[in-house]
Amino acid sequence: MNFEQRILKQKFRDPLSLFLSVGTTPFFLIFFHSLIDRETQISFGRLALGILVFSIILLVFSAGLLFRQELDNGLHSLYRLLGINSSRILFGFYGVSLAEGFVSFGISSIFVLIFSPGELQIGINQILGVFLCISFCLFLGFWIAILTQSPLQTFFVSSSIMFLLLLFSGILFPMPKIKVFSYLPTALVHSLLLEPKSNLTHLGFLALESLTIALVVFIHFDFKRKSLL
Amino acid sequence: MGLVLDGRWIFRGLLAKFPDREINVLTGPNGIGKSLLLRILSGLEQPSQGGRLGRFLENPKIGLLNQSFATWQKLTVLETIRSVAHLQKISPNFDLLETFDMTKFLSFRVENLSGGTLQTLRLIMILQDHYDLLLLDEPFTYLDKKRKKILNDLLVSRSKDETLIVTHHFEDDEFVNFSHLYNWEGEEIQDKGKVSDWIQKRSNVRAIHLLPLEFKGKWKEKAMFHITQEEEVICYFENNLIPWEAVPQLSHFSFRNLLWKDMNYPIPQVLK
Repeated sequence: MNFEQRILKQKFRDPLSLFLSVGTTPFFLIFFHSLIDRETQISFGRLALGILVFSIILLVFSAGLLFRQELDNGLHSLYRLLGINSSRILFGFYGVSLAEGFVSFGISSIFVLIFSPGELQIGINQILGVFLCISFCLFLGFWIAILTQSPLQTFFVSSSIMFLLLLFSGILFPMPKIKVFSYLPTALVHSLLLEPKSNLTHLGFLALESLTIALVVFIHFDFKRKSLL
Repeated sequence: MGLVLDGRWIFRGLLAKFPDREINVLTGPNGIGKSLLLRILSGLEQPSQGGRLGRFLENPKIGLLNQSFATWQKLTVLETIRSVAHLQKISPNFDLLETFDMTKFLSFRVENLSGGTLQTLRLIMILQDHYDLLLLDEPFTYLDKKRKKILNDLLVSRSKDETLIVTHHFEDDEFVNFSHLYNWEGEEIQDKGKVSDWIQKRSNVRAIHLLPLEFKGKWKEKAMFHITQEEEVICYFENNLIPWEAVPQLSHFSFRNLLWKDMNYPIPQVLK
């Protein structure tokens, strides 16, 4: 059983975590759709795009908890003696979680297309933007797992960060009038989904932010591994 | 070698020599640094002073069993063995699972295993590969007598090709076939010779004395003295075997204050 298969098995055997990352947003979409009437259909469409971004934000939580389990597995001595380097571990988790992120986003998108046809337009820019935003959220989750000391801490910190992203990205609540928040990856991808013809600067920022956090996480994890058993 | 942790020396000026292709048993009190020494020998920890494996092979293959008790909690025993074998780039060793009578647990998730079964799984994960140097940190912990015997026999057979260093607290007879005993006290690891000699002496015990021991002005729990037919004495203190001739050398034992209390039997000549 290879590295990625093993992570997948772990993921599938934690149904609550799987439901949180894959099932939450479709549930929200069905719930909100059942509450609204036809007159407010347009506002539902905009809300649905926000919930789509929320499905990406949830990955901070699930990736953080999954990676925390890995840090606590007590096998890092074995990994190091077998010459398994930090990038092998990180990118194994990244690959599996990325697939999970796209599945989650895909399922939610289907519901948006059913409930609010025409609201969601997906082109190459949007796919690239979603990919970069998922990457950012995954590495943010990994970083929280590395920074915290226990699964409980990971749980609380990742929940808080998720809430802050939700609050300041303008996806469900009005965005604060401070410009810096519009550069949050979640705000950028929301703009890309809202305005399919938005310029490539958004993608540039997303790429820069994702690469930066990936690099920081790699360096920190490589350093942290020395203290892991 | 020496090691500084949190700003203080855990040990320094330590010289340890272990013969190769033997099972070297290292005993010593809790917290003296046995596990850290194994980590240094494995190369996972850098010593603050000196080096490791002075004249060992250039690029030895090293296996380490530490005292961590986690693994991948959601996987089954079989999946765990396969996953580790994949990392080790070998085929899973199913014979070892049978040897340790673990086949009935193959479909059990790791999170549902008992302490002894989990320890056995962790042993199999390490022992399914072969090494130049195999370091085992208290491998007999949680094992029942049957599995202790199996592990003992397995390690003996592996010592023909591998060098083993095993830390342990002396409690049972599982080291009956082990090669060398080392006792770590203070800043010195003393070679106490062949383990089989000590075991032989233990089987030749004439009397056992439980005696209170004064240490830094406080009464400690009783030390156990085995007196052999030949009037030789083996001392056990805090689960560590201390050969009699080493007792007076132990700086922290106030030997002259060793008191004989509530004794209804004659004090052996050697203890007077």
